Amino acid sequence: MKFVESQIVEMLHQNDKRVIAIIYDNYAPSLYGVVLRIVQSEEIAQDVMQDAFVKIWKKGTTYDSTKGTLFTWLLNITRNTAIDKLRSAGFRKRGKNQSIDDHVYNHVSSRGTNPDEIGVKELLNNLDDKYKEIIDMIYFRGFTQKEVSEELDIPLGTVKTRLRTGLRELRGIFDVTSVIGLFLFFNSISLLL
Amino acid sequence: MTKEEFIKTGLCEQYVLGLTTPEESKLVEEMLLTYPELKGDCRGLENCMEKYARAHAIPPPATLKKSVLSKIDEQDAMERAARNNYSIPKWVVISAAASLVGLLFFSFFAWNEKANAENKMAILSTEFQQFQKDCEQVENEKMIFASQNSFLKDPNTTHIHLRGEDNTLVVAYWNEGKDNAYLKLENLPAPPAGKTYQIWADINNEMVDMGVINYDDKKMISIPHMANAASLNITLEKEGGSDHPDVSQLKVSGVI
Repeated sequence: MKFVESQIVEMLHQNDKRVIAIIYDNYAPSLYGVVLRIVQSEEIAQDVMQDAFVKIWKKGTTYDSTKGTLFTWLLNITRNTAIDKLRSAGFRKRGKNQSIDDHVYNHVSSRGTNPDEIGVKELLNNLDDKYKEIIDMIYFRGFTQKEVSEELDIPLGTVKTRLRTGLRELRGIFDVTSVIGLFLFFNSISLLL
Repeated sequence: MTKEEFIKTGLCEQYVLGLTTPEESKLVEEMLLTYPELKGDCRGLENCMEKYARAHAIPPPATLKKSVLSKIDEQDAMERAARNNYSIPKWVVISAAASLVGLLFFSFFAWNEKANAENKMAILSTEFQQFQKDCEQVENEKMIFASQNSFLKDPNTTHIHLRGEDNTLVVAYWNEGKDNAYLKLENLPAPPAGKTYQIWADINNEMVDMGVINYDDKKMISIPHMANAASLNITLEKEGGSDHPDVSQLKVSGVI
């Protein structure tokens, strides 16, 4: 069953426990993808997911939809939990040369990815690597801009500029996919007619 | 800060990525309120990143959902247990208060019962003492009757009629072998106020005092036995008795 974000938020605010399963069904794969890239271990990633969902449940009534989307809120909690876990475990070995997806997909290739996303992934190849690298380091691995600057040995200002430009480009790509999606949608309808 | 300046800072992007400090986050939130058109931009970026995350989604192991749900249940149970430790649940307070009221009622009831019981006990105790006294009295009377009975049935007991004016009659039961004797006043009238009957034995023409008579015309009156008495005489004397009989007041007399 598909739930609209506003319904989920309402349930969160009412402390309705059923909301956890709904959030899990809707967002767990996206969150798990981020967590696994940060902690680089399926075992730790599962611990992080459990802790993060406990926090989501406890903080649920404090979520303010005027300050950001539900997903941003969920991801911030989950990402911070993952980073805290890494710090507390005392290992923060995140080399820039390590290919995230190589590592991750070595572990989970058997489960595969959502086929719906495959087309999008191909489109994402259009994103310049210099932007993708920075976005991924920050978004998927919890680096700060300063850490990216040190890690990649480029000025902080350049990191910021590339992040901004990268995000705008990314948005452009997704807008295109939406257009393509609409195009395909109408195409299939016209075919049916 | 103008809208353009704000866009240049790239704070919106950093906010979306969770990179802003709390102060910066607050600034972003204020700017979004001031310029609603920025909000659309920011939301657009957020949705874009959500799509980006979805594009990189990895399905977690099937068992994780169950672990997540049970972990939350576990945490909730622990918190409930912790809360219960610190605050006394309402039902405990209510039942404790109810018990206290109940105890007070019971105490009052029990105290009342105890007081009642003590009262009854005291009454019973008094009644019992009275009953004991009555018993003793009956026992005494029984013994008196028994000794009177054996006295009267003794073959050596004789009846002496002491007679006076107007057929006045007093009977004395006399037995030479005994230490006492009995009087039955029969129709002797009660003594006038301030007077008492006194009985005398005539021994060798001497009137010997045998004591004052406690007037009772129903019962046998015990009197001492006097050896060698020739006659028994009853006179009316002043209250308390006299040392010498007032012969003018001789009421009845009988020869042994």
